[in-house]
Amino acid sequence: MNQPFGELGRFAEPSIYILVSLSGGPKHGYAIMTDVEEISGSPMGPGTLYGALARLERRGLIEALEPEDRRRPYRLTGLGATTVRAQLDSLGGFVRTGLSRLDEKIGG
Amino acid sequence: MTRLVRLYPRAWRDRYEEEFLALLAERPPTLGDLADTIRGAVDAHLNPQGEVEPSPWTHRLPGLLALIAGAMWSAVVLAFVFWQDGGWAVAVLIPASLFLMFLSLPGDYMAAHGRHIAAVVGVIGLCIVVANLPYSVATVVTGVGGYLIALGGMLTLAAIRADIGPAARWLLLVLAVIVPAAIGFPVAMGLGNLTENETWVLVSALPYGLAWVLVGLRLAIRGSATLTDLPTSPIEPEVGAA
Repeated sequence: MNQPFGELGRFAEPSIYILVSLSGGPKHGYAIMTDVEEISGSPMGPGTLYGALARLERRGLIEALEPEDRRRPYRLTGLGATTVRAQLDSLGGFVRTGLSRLDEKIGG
Repeated sequence: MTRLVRLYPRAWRDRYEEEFLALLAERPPTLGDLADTIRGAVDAHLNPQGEVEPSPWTHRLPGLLALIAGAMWSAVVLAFVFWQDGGWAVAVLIPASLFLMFLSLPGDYMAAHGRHIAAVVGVIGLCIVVANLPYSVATVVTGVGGYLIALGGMLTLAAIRADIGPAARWLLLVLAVIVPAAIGFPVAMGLGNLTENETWVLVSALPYGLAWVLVGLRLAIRGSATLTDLPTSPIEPEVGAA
């Protein structure tokens, strides 16, 4: 896993999901959680969600907006957008390479 | 489920508690959510985000000593109950565990405040342990009463310092006062000497060991300094830190 996600340990994967979720616009905790479940197909617990949110906020990849009632929305920062784009590009390259090698193996 | 939020550090709660509770209110929590919340609380203590600096290892040492001492105490009691042959363990390991407990409390005070009272507590504790050691070795279990009294006082101090919430703190305080009063004093006054069959006295001391394990775990994770110096300001994002 590339920087800055490598240092996030078990929060690396949830962090990418959260950044991808926030790429569609600001969301509060519950909206992020349901969106991530849709994207990944597996549930994300509240402890994991807020562990990842705290780390992303600390690193300036997301920022908190003014609370709406008790819920506080988060949005992607410029740094966060650049970071998640680079990460997705990297993953895209990895996927293309893997598929291409698989095709060669099956074709050959 | 919402009570589990209290497991999180104060700084974390100041920043995230409201929205976290709002999230929990929006859907019925599952058992998986419960486990995930507890795991998240442990992580928040071990890896505080934001402006809270992780405690240096020296501030975690007193808690670690208390944890080891509590584990030793509990192990001796259980060994004595199950194998009925814990005389040597009572004579050696319980004084050793008390020694660690006495070390842990002054260490905790020094880490948090650097007060002279730490040295006083340490010296008194050492004197009690050293004075009891030959007596305990000679008579194996009759020294337990004195230990219980000393332990009650130490546990009281630990309960006050552990910052574990009003209910749990009061429970520890009651344990620390009532158990020594009910068991320790009569034994120490010679009103009843223990025999190996009277294991109930040691069994009733088991909560002490377990309480020390919990208190030690708490202090080892959080570190002493964070008990009194918790910041309350929201976490400021550090743009460009990545």
